[in-house]
Amino acid sequence: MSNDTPSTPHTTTAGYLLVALALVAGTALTVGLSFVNLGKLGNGLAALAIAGAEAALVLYYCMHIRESARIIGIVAFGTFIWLAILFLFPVGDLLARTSSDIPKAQAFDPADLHRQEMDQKWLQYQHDLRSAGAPADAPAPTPAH
Amino acid sequence: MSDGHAMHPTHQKHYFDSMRQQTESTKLGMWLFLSQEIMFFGGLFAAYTIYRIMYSDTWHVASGIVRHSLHLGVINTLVLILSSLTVSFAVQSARKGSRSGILSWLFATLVLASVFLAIKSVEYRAKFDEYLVPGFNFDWQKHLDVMIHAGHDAAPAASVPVEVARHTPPGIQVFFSLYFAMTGMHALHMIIGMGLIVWIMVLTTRGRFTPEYHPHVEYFGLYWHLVEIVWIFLFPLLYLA
Repeated sequence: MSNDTPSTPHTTTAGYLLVALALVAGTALTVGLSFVNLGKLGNGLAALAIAGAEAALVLYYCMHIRESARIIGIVAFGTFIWLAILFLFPVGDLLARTSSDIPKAQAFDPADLHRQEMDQKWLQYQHDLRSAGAPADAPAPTPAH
Repeated sequence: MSDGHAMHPTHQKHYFDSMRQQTESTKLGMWLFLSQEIMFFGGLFAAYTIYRIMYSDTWHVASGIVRHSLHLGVINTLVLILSSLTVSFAVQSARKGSRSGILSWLFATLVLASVFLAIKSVEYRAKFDEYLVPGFNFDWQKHLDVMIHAGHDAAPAASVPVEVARHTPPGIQVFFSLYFAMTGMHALHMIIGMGLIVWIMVLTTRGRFTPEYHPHVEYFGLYWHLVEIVWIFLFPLLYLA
């Protein structure tokens, strides 16, 4: 048990410096990747993966999970399980819904109807802008009506 | 001495069997606190995720706006990484029993934290000037005018009806509410941390810490690293979404 053997050496100065360098490199990589189009989900997931790796380094070396009693590691790991539940259930619920599952408020106010219509047109406009940002041989954007 | 306190080290509370048990217990308590801090920020990150799914196009537009200050975000990330390093060195000094080491590394952390907050306030000021503060001065039309004037945006193409191009993106205020809530909560944690630094520096000058007993420094280190981890996720999600 790590409880009885406090012999894991402390993180050294060189160790802290290496972690800091890794974090700087991770930041540079994250910013660099944001200029490359990896698809609608790709960029976000890549950035999160790098952030996750950086966080793991900080937790393990700088926050001394490495040299702490096992119970500390269990608490830290357990927190991320709770966090996963916090994310997975609402997001799963949201993704599983279709528009017909969401009750629509009756829009009696003509201003609301107009806003909803404009929202749709704006979304179409954004879609067109994005396809215009696609490779040069992509079809020209169709103007919104 | 006949009282029980002579039986154990000065810093050991009488309800612990040993210093080792005391250290393990208080450290566990600190980690449980950090755990709820992670869940607290987790709630904000979950809200971000849900609204990002609901308003993905708006998020794209909004993070494009935050990206105008990407250079400030990058500088702040580097400042925070450096402050994390100085805190690690303060903890290391405490373990070696170097009072001057604790004081100088904590002072360096205090300076870096001030730089971070100063840069953050410049960004907040810019959001204010760009009419992007929900519940305070949010105005998308004025925002677009400021952007066009500053050369960040072009006037909408003639092929698109102006009313559509200048339509307020659905959910845009949700993004900026989350932007201020998340970065604001993070900044608040840093301000609290700066208060803790001053307190620990005072305790250090009073000679409260020894190589065997310096939990304040150790646990402050844990807190500060957690604040850094929160920023590690905030930075790509808000600036590079």
